[in-house]
Amino acid sequence: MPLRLRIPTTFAPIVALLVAACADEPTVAPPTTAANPLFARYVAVGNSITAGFQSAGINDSTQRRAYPALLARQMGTDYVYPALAGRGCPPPLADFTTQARVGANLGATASTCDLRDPSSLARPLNNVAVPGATSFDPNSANGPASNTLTFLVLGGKSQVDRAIDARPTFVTVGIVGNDILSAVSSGVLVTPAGVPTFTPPVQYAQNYAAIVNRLRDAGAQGGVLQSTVDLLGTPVVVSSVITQNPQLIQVLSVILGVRLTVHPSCTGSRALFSVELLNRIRSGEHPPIVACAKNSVPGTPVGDAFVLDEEEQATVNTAITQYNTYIRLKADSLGWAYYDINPTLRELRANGNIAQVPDLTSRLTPFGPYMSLDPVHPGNLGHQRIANDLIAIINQKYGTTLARVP
Amino acid sequence: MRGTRRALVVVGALLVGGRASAQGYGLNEMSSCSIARGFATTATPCDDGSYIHWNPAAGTQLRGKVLGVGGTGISIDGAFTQDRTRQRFDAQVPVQVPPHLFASYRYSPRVALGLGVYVPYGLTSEWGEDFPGRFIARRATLQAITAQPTVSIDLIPGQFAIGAGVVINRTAVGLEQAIDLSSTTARAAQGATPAVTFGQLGVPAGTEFARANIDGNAFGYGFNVGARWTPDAAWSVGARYLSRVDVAIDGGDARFRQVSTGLVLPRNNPLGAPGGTTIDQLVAPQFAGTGALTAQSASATIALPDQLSVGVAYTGVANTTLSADVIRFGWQAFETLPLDFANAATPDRELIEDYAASWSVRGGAERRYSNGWIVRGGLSWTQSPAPDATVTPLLPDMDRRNYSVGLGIPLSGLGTRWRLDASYLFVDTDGRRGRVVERMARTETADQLNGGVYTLRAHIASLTLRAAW
Repeated sequence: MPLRLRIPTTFAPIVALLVAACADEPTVAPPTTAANPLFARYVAVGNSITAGFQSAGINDSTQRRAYPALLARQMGTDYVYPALAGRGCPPPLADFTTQARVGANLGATASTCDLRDPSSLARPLNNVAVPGATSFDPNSANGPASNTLTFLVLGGKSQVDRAIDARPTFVTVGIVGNDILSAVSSGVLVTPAGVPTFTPPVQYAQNYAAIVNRLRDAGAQGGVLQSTVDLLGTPVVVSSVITQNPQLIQVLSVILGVRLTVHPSCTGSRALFSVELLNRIRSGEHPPIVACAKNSVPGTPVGDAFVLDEEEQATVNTAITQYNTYIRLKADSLGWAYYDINPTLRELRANGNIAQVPDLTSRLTPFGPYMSLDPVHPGNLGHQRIANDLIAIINQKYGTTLARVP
Repeated sequence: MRGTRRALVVVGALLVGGRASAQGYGLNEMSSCSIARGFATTATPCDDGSYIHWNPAAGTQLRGKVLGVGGTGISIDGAFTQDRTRQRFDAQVPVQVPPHLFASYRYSPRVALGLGVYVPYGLTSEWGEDFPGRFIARRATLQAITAQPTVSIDLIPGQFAIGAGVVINRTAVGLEQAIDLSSTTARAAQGATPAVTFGQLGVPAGTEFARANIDGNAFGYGFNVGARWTPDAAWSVGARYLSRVDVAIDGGDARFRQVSTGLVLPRNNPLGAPGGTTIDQLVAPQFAGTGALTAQSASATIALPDQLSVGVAYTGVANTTLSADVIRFGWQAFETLPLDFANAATPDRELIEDYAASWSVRGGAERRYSNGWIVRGGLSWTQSPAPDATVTPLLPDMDRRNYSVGLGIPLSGLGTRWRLDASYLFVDTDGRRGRVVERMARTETADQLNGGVYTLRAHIASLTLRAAW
């Protein structure tokens, strides 16, 4: 039967609508908030400073004041962090002189851990930093510096794996000092077996490359690689010059609750001793003697442990310089930005915002207004400064117009 | 184990459905002719016997015996785009072909008898293995096959007819769902110390450690009644009511298998396990012996909502039928989904759905040619019954616009009794924001829950072989 159909005009609108509908795209789309597509998905990798550790502890309040949170806000991008519940894990110090922690009235101590906030388990995370992480850790779920917070933050994966979950377009990498912090704090750079107690720079470079390369391969289009902190320019260590101030020694004796003795080896010494020495004296783990040279008290580590002589200081400086040289070259090779925090630290130390000599009688600012109640971690003002430094560098490198944190 | 509860919770989801051109898990794909006419067939149903579904009163329209048999291929093009990662997850729904069979017999000048076998409710949703919403459903199926013996009676010959049918419904449901480790107990309560979940220890939501498969089926019964008034030769008006059917599924079969998490406990972990211990080792006992994730049964009650439709048709133009319908679906019946589990350790649950009654407006046209060919077209709009907080992987429902065209092709080689109806329908939507996480309480709002955008389009092609003698 021949097909002869004159299609009535009744059907014309139907066919026209059908054709038009097939060509259209759905009109509902995911919201876009980021100031720039580069920042669509920002992820921070790092250690304690990046995680928001302050005052020898971390809780939701300090996490929300960490520089990645401030940076994400200025980027206008989504930001999910591994929120801790209750008082924290451990709760930060609330009073330096008494060493009381947040929630002390609820029994908080240095061993308190209120775990993760169960209402905040969304994934993926935009801040995967773990306090204590060294360059060995971000690529491992069970790295050498693993601690309680490692699982609480990462839940059994590595930092880099969690970062990749977020499909980052922009990253900051802040592995800024734990590779050598314990060596500096302990004053012991080499074990009796001759093994360095800090990460050798060649190894550091390998570890660092493995972290950054995976982030790049996962699609990160840009980022900032952050320098290692010049620990000898922070309140982590104190110049032995202060031992020549009898009044200060007397104050320290009162604070530490012991009669502090200064060994003659400190006269004219340019050694540095770590603040950890004072903690050990306070806890009775070290004799109440400050000495500035090895074998000051024969047969004991006094003058060696927690003390860095000039030769050891040079070793530390060389290692940190080599770390940072590699980080800068790596950033250059990727076309990413490099942030050297050390000029900022020197500036803040010169103008008194970071104390050159800790005021151990201060309840709230013993290490200066830009530091928290511990000598390693910046306080809120410090995080704000880091965020603004990063914003300036990002704007310069990527031609963006991120506003400063007010 | 809470994980078990969450897995089984969605057994009720099984009911969510097949969708394509209809609301919720309703299906309209009963015959090629009715699809092509935009489903506007209450006043003047197609002559292929599908009146049994669309309006049981219209059986006396047909003369002699009529048989309509065919199937409808439904191809769904769906996706979910996650807000935070902009990652797009495509639905992987295989083409479904619900069948339809209608037989009608003009028993006497005023009485017609009919039998229909069709699928008024159905669902197949399927997503990839990495889909973040697989904790609600990676795969869900529902098939509500209905058999409906029907009688039509002309009360006033040529003017007013009524009809009624008994709905015998067999509903089979299936669900595959991932189980989330984050909500599973890691450390039991000890004295005053409350239990701790893996989530509180740092395991993020959406960490799969088990996969559940649940199947079940049951019968349900209802009725379908209609009336048709033909005031003059050009106009006809019809109304029809399909009752709600509650299907109680008892003894559903729930099975579980362990899925490797790849997660490792580091040193100094809060569980106190040795560094390097895998999470898989910790949860393995749950899958053996009397563990919570061993085979068990579950039950649920699924509501297939009622439908009330009113339509008008005009045949005042030669060889042409124009028709329009309004239909209301009683989706408010789908308010919650109570779930009961055989394992006493698994708490019973109620899924919050909060569907609302919804409407559809339909229009269609048919032109018959002297050579036996028929051209059809239709438009319809359907309102989604799902509230903003219930747009989920099981059924990311949204308002739909349907555009349909079709042909009636006389099969001259088989004689004048035979005709092949063919239709194509395109389902278009704007997309809708939805969630991939479970809603645990009504205090959780759509803004809090919805984390992306679902898109949905469908291509529907249908063939019906119609014979009359």
